[in-house]
Amino acid sequence: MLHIRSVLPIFIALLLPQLLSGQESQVILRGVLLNNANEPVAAALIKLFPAQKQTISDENGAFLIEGDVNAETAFLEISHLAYDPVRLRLSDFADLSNIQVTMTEKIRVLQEVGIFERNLLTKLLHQSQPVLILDREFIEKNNTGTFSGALSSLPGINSMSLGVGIAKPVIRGMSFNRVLVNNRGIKQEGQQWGADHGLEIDPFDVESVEIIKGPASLLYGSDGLGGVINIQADELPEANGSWLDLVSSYQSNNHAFSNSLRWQGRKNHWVYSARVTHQDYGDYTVPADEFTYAGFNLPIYENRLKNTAGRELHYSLMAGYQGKNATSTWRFSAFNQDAGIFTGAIGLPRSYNLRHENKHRDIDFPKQENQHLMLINNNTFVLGNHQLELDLGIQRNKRQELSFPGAHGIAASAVNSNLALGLELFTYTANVRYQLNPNPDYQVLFGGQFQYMDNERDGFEFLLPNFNTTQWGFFNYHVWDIDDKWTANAGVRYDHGRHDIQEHSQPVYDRTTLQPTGESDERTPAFERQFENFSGGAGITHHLSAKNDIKLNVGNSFRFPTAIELSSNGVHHGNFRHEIGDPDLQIERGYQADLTFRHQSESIFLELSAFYAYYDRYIYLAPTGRFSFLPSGGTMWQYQQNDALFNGLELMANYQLLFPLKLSLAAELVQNLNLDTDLPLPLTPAASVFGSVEYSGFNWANHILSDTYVFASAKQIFEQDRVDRNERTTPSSFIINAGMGFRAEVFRQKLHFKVNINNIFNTAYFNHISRYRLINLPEQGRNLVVSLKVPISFENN
Amino acid sequence: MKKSFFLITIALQTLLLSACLDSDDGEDQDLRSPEIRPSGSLQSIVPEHLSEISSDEYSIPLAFEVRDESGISEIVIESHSGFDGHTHGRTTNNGDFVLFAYNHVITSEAMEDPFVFQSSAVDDPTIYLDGRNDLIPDGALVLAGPYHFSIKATDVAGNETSYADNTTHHGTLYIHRDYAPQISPVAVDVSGRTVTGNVSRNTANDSSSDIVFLWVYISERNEENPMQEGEISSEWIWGSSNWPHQFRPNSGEDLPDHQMINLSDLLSDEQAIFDMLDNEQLTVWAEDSNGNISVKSFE
Repeated sequence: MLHIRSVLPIFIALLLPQLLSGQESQVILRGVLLNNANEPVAAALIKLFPAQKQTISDENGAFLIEGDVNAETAFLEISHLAYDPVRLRLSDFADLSNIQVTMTEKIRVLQEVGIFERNLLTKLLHQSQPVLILDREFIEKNNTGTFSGALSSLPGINSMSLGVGIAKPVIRGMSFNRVLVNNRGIKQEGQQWGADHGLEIDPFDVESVEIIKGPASLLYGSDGLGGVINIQADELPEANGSWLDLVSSYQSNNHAFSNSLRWQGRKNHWVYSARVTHQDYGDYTVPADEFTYAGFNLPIYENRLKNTAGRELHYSLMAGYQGKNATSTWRFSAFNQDAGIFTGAIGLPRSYNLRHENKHRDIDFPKQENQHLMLINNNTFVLGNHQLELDLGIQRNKRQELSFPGAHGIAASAVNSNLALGLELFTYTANVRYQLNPNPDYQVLFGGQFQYMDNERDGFEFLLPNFNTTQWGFFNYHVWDIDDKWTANAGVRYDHGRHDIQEHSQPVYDRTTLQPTGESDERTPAFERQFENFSGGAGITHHLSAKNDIKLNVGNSFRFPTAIELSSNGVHHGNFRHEIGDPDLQIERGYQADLTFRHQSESIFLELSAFYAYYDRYIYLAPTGRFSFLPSGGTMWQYQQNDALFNGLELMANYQLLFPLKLSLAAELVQNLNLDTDLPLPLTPAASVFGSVEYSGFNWANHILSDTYVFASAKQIFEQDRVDRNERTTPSSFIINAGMGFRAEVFRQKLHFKVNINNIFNTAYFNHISRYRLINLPEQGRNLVVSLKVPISFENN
Repeated sequence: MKKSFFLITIALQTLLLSACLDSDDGEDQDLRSPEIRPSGSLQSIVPEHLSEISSDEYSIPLAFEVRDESGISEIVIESHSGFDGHTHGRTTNNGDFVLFAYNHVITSEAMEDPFVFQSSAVDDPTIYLDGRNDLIPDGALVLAGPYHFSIKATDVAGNETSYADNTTHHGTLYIHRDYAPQISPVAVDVSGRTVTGNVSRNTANDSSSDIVFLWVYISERNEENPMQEGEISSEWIWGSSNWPHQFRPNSGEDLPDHQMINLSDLLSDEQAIFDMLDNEQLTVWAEDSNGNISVKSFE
């Protein structure tokens, strides 16, 4: 077994070469920014690193900036909304007092935004893995009520949903604890092991997000096995002032009203923001008036699924200080959700209990109440050429599944509560990263992570015991810009984890009186497990030409078994079965190869990625073939581990025609195989192809409207016939969407307006990874989504 | 050079993908759940959906067969109350009464033939409604009412029957008892605009109790699926239910009497009764204070 003592010398050896440091001196830079037509570029942001100095170009494109830096290692970053960002080393300039920079207009064929890899963590991943970067505009354009849903239009990303209000992301066929959500530097922890558990993120409260497709546990730790959703810290305003923006949207399908109000500002070094979001939606409609279940043709009255309404209230507050060499922000956020579950989804639905009684906005039982509170402190310290980052976080995730006790074989009088399953998880996190920049061609990152979790259970049902989990690890990563053509990276990591599982005995209830018998069953014994893991990886990027890159990443990843996988023992009504953990599970390890080809020119963007992965001791739930001893327990499924293979392909392409017409194509395929059963793994998304055409040539309307576009898109989802035992195939489907948007100015007030019609032809189709697929319910029908954004700048000084 | 790199890229990606993850023998695997079917020459599984268990019956015969090509692992026969549509699950009001329940697991070790199981092979293929049933205490009285019943099976490969594809056998059993509310035949005379029939307490039985709740509804029979409970088009409620439902009001106007209720007094002014169509039926649901439920439908 590996031990820290055996790993430490390696880290020390890796650290020694970094004890290089240059001399700093005062530099004064003068220059001018021009575009390809030799016209001045005004209002561009110029930043000097690592001195953290910044200025804005004037109307002639001129700028002046000064700071104490090492001229051998310092660099300039220049950004502008309309131009591609530029990064330039000072050592490349012959004369620092007469700098001329030519900026290239942004290629408008990408849906992603270009950002600097000023964070080495980001750069490392960009070097060798497929990473999608999405901005606020993209999320607003694709928002259907959940953050996860907004991401699912991207190749390789799918959404596992329970109705329209509860969803979680799936990356390359992996989800649950194999997709890590890094929320502003802190790994978000909830009860992500459940297929019917959503991701607690306010879809309006995300400015920019990176999606790392493929393993990233070397940098992010256990759980970053399938991919990472990296929600970036909000961009801090560069200039003094205050801004307010309101986004309101309405969805016709479930009469959803969403409003999100944000206030942000800056006063010299102090920055602040606040946001409040409210969403209220009724029962949603599907393109069917009946569904077939248990041999019955059950009615869907008014095409509306009873008890799928929901309400959400989220808010966040941020305050911080941004100085020359230090930036520190504090952020508190609260996610509160109350979401109904379709009446027929728990128990055996009958026609008589699916009637609405005209209460389309009521939330009755069964339902979920979810709350996620998060306090984050992000700190960045510039230490000469180097940078130290420290992220601290405290989270409380409270999940409550409410139901009638009788549905669980318990008399209501015996428990006096409708709380079937309550889980409260406290998580304390500390991450530290130290980035060394010994020279412009070589960068090093040292990092350490610590996390402590405390889970408390409640309710008359039992599934998961109380437990404490401690995980810590550290890593070291290196990036070499070998020459203009080649960049390489490599890293190592050590992790340690420990679960302390507490014993749980559950009262036994008499099946004829539904009262407690006075006896109890020990469902989970007390036990403790420890894990440690040593991992490493490497990647290489080859710039074939100015327009073509090829990336190869080879490495291994890992995941510690979770408490649910080790110790659960109860009925999971979300899956209609009794789920049992295995205390002897071992570390799950993956060995992956990613290959990505990217072409980017003025009119074409194309990215083709393929991946192949072998998983050693992949953990999954397998049927035991035995029935549960619990009332309404169904069959017993136990966590097992066997070797598995994954592979797949993603294609993303955009073509900007000479006239303002943009064609987009995205395709994805993921396959897997359980090497023990010779069957696919369950809940694997079907292959799909997405195409869209967007026209934005409304120049004639520029005096009234701007940034006007119209689009139409189509998605072909292929049949999913590669299914696991006891999993049904899902037929293919073809969905068409359309939309438009523009910006206007009314009485000097800017307005951003968007209209989308999703599923225009009200097509009935199934989502293979939807929880409601289990009861043969089609997905949401036609949905008109109207949104209006009102940005207000009410103070500038 | 550029071209060759591009070709290498495409070739590698194709290679990765060409390793299609189809197993050699996956196609030959048994992915079918066990089949639950009528036994021998019988036309249906016993008990059938919507079976009526009369007051003098204290046992329910079982007759079914299970087949599986890989080998049966387990069969479970289970019944529990369906009084409240799987919602509140109140307990009984009187200590002498218990809910009927049955739970019996047959494992492969108890089967002579691992591929075919006949219920007749069991020593006593009968479900008892008294102390002979392990779950029912000696001397306890089973509450009358609707009970859900199911037969499920798994095979040695892990395949299992399910509700979703209707491979699990399931249904509702109506258990009638003398001590429960007694519902006389109900007749509707459209031309004379009269309803005849009554609901009464059987005072001759010492275990009977007052009637506390009455629910009368009209539902449309599903002609395509006659075994399916119909959609309710009209309903009337009196009294207060012991077993609150999530999908209908659980109390209404006071009952006119707790021992003898003349349906004519309650329903003769209800036009919907006389507008009933041929494919509709009238159902009377009555509860007593002990928690017994009597349900009868009339066409």
